[in-house]
Amino acid sequence: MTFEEQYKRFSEKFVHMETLLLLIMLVSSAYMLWGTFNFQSVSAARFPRLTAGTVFIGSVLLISRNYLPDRVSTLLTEQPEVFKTDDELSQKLEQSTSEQTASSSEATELSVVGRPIHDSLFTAIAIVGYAVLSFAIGIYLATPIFVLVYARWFKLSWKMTIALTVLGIVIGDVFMGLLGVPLDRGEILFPSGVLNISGISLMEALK
Amino acid sequence: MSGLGLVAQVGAIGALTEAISLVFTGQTLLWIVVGLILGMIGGALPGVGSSLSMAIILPLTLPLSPVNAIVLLVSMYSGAMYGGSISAILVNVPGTGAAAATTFDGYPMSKQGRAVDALSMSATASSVAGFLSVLTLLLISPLLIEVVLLFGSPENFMMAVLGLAMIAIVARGSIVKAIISGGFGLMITTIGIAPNSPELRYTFGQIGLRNGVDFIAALIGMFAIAEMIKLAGQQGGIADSAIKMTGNSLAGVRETFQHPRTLLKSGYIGMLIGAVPGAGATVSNFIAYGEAMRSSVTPDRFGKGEPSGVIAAEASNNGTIGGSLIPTIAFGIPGSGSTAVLLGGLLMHGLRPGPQLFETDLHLTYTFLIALLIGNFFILFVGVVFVTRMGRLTQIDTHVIIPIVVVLSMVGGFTLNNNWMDILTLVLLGLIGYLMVKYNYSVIAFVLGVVLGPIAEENLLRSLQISGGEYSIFLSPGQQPIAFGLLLMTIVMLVGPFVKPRLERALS
Repeated sequence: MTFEEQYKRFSEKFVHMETLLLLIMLVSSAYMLWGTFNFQSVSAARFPRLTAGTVFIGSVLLISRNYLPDRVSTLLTEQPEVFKTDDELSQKLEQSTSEQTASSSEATELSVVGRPIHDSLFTAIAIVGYAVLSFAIGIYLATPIFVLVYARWFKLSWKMTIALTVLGIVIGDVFMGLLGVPLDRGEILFPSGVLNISGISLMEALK
Repeated sequence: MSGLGLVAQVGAIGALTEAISLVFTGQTLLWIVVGLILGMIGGALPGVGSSLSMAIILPLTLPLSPVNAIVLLVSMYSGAMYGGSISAILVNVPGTGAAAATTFDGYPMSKQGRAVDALSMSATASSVAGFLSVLTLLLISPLLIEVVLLFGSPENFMMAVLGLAMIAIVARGSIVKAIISGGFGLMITTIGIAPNSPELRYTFGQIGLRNGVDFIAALIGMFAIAEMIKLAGQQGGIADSAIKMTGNSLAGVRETFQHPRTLLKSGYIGMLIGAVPGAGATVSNFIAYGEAMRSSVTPDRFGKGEPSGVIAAEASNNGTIGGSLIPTIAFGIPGSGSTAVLLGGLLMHGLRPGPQLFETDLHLTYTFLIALLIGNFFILFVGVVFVTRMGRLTQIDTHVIIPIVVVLSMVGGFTLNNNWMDILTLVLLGLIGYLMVKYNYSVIAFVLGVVLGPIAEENLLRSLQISGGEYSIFLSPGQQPIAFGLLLMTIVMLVGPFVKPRLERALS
């Protein structure tokens, strides 16, 4: 079995992303609700108790919707119709939506560029990786690496890849030059800044 | 007229004069133009849109004065509303949800070789309706000031609850999903120091969490990161090479003015719907389009390249701007993603919606409105003169846009406080936001919760201080009639849509 087939099988069988989202909400609201009983101040506990309580009850209901009576389950998932549209407009809307879906839909295949994992999943992983790398070596250095990896994964031309990488560096330099943000500092490497070593920024060098 | 009303009107005239001089001095005019151009570009790029472009620009406004920063943001909002029509007309994919109905007739017009006509029609309808709605808002502002000044803490808290309830109702999909999305947003804002006690809540000993989750980082995560992850999984969105930029821009302008009733009616439909928190231009453009079709003598032409279809959709979405600013500025309840970002901008620059923007800072409120008025002329100018060049924006590959937006978001997020906690917020909420979008959990309700959380908690605690800890303060029609009325409206809003059809069935 190829990696692609294994990936497809795994994601279809074991990964229920909506349940994951609801579990995140459930666990975080349960923790926050429990936390309110440990606060010293009553007033500090009031608002988090109200909000976390709402999220907790809502997520429990949604997680268990398949096991609830039909009428309750329908109430939980039903969409109330507030702004009524006439039949002709609804038809047009449906038609237009299906046309747009055809031209700009969520890709049915895993990847539009023929990669073995879904494009959205890769983008999410790349963004997490970019954040972790930024923490380690600083955003300034991590940016061209992220852009380069992203552009190559999506098979952009070398010309475009280089242009985007340079643009990434320029964005970093503009933020550092204009706003004085220490983007060149990492928490693990270069804690005092990459550009402090050379003493100049790209903008200054270009001047 | 009451004495208080007269004083308010005199104050309003003084503030208006000050606002006019503010707009025409310094760099304000420059920021109007910059904002409009950035908004048009953001609006025209499929998958980007107004809220995302405003969110990534937000950290860049830090060095600007509050006036210039907000002028830049409102101009972006206005520009993006028009920009959304460019991709709707040329690609059949609206740059923003607000231009979804524009595709019905705009794209067929392009296929018939009238792309330029449709684009200039969109620019004219957008600018005329945008101008009229903001002008109307300026004219009714003295009345609005009197209403806003009646609101105290209990009313402001109930208004926040009503705003969330409205968004839950208007949001597509399950109402329970929308309520927990809003609740999740509110819940996240309770991280950090409690408002009226030194209690540290859910900080895990991290100094970076003492001031709580930065709402700008949350906005960037929800609008930029989540959208980019979603966009990466989509295909298409690039202009069809078969569409040629042909037609006559002046004919488009003339044609727009030949439909004055559609133009005015759609603009004001947009304004009215925009004033309803949660509804926004995404709803108004369908309603206005439907109304234009209903009142037309040739309804069968709609959907086949009927100019009044484009006019109605485009007039309504720019008309929404004036309306959506009412709840945003007056009560701090944004009607859409873009106004949520705008509200974030106001708070970031120390401007608090509500009485402050209608008393001491009234001149600033008028400055933003005048900036929008002026901006409409610019939209018309750019839309008619540079119309043929606009199409190039829709030929940009989404995989070129994504890394740029991600880099701007990451760099912008770090710029807020030079704090890695903001980057963590941005990435985590980006991932959660993607799942929320994918499974129809209202992102707008979540964002509204994040923006409103601190204000709502402060007003709740202040109300309870007034009442000695009794929640009955919200249930007392004699003492707090407005708060009680808002509570009733919230209940009707949440229960009504479920009870009404069952009641109708039972009665029939």
